[in-house]
Amino acid sequence: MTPTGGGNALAQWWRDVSFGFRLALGVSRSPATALLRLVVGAFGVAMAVALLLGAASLSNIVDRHEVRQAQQLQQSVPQPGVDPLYTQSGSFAFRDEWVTGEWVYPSGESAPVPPGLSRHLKPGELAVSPALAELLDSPEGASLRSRFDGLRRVATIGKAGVVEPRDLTFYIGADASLSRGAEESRDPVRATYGFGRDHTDTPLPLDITTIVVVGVVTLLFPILILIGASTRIAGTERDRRLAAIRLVGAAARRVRRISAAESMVPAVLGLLLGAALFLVARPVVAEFEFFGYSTYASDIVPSPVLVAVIVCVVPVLAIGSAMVAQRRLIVEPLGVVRQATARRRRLWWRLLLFGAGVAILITPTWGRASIGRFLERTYIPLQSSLVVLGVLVMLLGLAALLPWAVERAITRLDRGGPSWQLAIRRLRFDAGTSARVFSGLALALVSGVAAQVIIGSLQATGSIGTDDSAAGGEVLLMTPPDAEPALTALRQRPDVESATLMHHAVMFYEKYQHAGAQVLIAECGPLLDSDVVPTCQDGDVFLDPRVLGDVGPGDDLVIDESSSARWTVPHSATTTKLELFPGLDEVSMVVTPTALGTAFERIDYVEPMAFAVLGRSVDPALRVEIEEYVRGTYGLSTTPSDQLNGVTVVGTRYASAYHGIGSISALLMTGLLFVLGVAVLGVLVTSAEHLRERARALASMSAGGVGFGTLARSLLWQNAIPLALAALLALAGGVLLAVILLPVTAGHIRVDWTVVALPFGSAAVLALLLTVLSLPALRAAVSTQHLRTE
Amino acid sequence: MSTEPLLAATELFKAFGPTEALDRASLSVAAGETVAVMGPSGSGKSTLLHCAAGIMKPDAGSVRYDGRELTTLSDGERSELRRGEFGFVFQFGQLVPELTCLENVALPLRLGGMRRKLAEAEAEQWLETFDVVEAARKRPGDVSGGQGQRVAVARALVTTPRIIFADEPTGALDSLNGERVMQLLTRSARDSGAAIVLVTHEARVAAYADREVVVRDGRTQSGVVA
Repeated sequence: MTPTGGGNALAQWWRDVSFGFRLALGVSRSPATALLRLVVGAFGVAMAVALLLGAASLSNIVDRHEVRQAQQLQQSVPQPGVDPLYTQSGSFAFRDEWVTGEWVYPSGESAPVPPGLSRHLKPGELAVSPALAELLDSPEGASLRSRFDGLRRVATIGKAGVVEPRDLTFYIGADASLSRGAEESRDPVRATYGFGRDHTDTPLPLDITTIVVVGVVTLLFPILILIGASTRIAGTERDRRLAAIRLVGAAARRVRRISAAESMVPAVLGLLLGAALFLVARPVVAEFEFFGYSTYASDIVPSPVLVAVIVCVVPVLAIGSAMVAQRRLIVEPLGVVRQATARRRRLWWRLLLFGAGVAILITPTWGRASIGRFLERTYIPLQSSLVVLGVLVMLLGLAALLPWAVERAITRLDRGGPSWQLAIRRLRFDAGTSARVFSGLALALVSGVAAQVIIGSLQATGSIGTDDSAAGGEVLLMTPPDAEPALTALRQRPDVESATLMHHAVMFYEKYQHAGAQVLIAECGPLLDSDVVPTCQDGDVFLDPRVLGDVGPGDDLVIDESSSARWTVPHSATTTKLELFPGLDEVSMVVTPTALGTAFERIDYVEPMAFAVLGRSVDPALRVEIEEYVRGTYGLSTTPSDQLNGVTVVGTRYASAYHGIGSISALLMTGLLFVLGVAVLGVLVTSAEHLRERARALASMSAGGVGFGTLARSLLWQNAIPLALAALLALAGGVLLAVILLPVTAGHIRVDWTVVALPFGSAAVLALLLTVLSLPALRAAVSTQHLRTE
Repeated sequence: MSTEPLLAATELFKAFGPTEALDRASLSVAAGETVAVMGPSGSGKSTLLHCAAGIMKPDAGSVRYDGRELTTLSDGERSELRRGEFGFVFQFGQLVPELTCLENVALPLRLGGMRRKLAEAEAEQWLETFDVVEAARKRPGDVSGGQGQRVAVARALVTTPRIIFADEPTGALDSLNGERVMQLLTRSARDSGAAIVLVTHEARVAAYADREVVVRDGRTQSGVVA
């Protein structure tokens, strides 16, 4: 009888796909290895999905951070019917952290309530952020509590008033003297009529974007290879199944469709598992600081467009890598055969792929210089896309090079003992499979090496992080009530290299309804010491267009509102990006005293600061010690206002940057370790499958007198040879990748022993680990049980 | 007997590397006829069956089935033939381990586009015929060898093929189960008018055939079973 009910091609597609699903789900009652295949495949996809969802959330994290920052900006333009809220800011460093806040005094019922509060604070009332509350309540916060003596803690500031969950912020309710006594305060008192401004999206800094992109792309590869490796698990059962389907009349094309649908099940399961993993990991991730940000778990939300892309692309990639892993399989009714033609691997196309990746990566480096700085913002997405594409193509080329390198190497490695000979013969028989699996590890190591070189080099140039050779070490900016004695005290300490005076002033733009511009007044020496400006001569003025808007040379600024005294920005002023300290990052203009001349005496709001270049230590305890030393020397008053406005560390030059790069480095290394773990799992699975397939041959050898130790050592060489070559390629590829990317990230190459140790150390550890973990499977394989015929 | 055989394999030549498996081997099968292909191990009898069934392409020679030349058909056309007009029973390995026995028997019908319920109802009838209905919901790994082979025979017959290719169908069974499978296979084939090409090295199994073809060193010699 001829079967009936045949539908159109689409119906046949659907039948094949649903049959593939049925087969994949049927493994739950099949041999344990088949179930393992499903689990490992799903696990690999889940890792990829969780990683990508995290990366897709980065822009949202930054965006929401900026939205909250913008929500806190004060509006100084009077609004009809709105009473002003008088505010005065204050901040100080506690241990290695900043505590910032505002004194607030509402002049009427309609005054705006500060963000994060539900009502106005009465005089003497204190509201603190959750992190500050936690710190104040802890034993470590004992000395901090004394700074808030005499204040009643009545509220915890809500999310709208705390930009980052780990921020230590406060509001203190002030009395009417805040508005009346503005002139007595050293910080300007502001009349605020509202909070919040629109914010414009700013992309992630280029350095970070590049590192993140390279990290994500390189970490994804081993996962895809794991997915490919998972298809080899229970391969014998799969081969038998596919052949049986072919025998009863499925054409080769239909069998491929069924097989692809089978691969879709772990992909879909992995997608769901990955989403769950991402949701579970969010609160954990929120506990840490990444790229200098700490974030709320609720901010870790991937962009919907990227989620859609991930949902579509990851299963396709998973199916694709499974199909690629099976591309040499020919399913026939009598069984599955592998195309095992002894075709020699060609080098040219591998090098071409690798070279194409390098060429793509070099393009943005050339382009950047010609496009110019002013287009930088729009340029970043294009540059990032080229970096992603270049890294992808280059890594593909590198992955393709490994099988060739292994094949070439093993033809030359002929001499050695029995275990070595066994390993070489085995690798010659099937070098491709093990090289492909190890290429996942190589690519993970490429990312580690590249990140290590980039971070090391950027630290060496002082672009990020901390380094002893950079700009004379760590610097401190302090705001003591009287700068001169503080400077004298600082100069007496052996751990302070130099101490000079700077001033922090506020000037007003008439055309912006008297909005204030923060100005740093300092001699060239400390400005150059602290890398605020790249070059400096006495009389120079520097403008930062990012925060100064369109105020430029020739514009008048009010330096004393009561007398309407003005100072004109000289025409010689240079526009540049200022590299300022944390705490002074709203400074929009740097002026050398000569440029101000006599106008300096008439500036209304000016605050002296002691600028100290410390020794080469970066121990945060030293800063606290110096701060306490200066505070103790002058026996400051213990009133909250004086404590807060007294000897305060305004900024430390390298410490905060160090945290950012520290977290990037930690994140990448954690990712690398994790991916190496995933790749090891893939290799182990493949290795166990190999041993199972060769059980009969191994048992024969064992029965013929080949010792277990010889077989175990042979296994070690089988792992060690491709791994050593993988490490070599990873080192070369990683350094090359870093060299290409470094112009993009504006650094200079630095390769130290840790960069070399990373791939080779990892390779040695992995070879041993993989061998040890495979020993139980080897022991099972050499059992004489396998000598029995069916 | 009609003048033109249902299947005619003529002057087949097949080599695996330097080894010649078939050397001008020929085989013809008339409709409803059971032909035993016999010979010692490695003589080429399985290769002859595979070439005759269109699951392996000979290097030279022709295989005509019902007026069509199998060696020139596309993979899709040959698959369609296997699905609708041919049935296969091998020594082992032809059942899909992930599917139940019922699903296995229904598989050729499902691949042909028949709706699941209909296909499974039909498959269940065949399982009843072969007295293995209790294995319907079990997977092949959970049933005995004899039951599994009866399921395989049921699957070979479910599409009511015109010709069944059986390669050592009792090779993995004890004599009692082997007899039972052979009886069921030949009786059912006779009832439905199907021809059988039966590869075996056991005279006891070959005794079920109408005619015998002996293969030796890749060459065929015809004979008639007494």
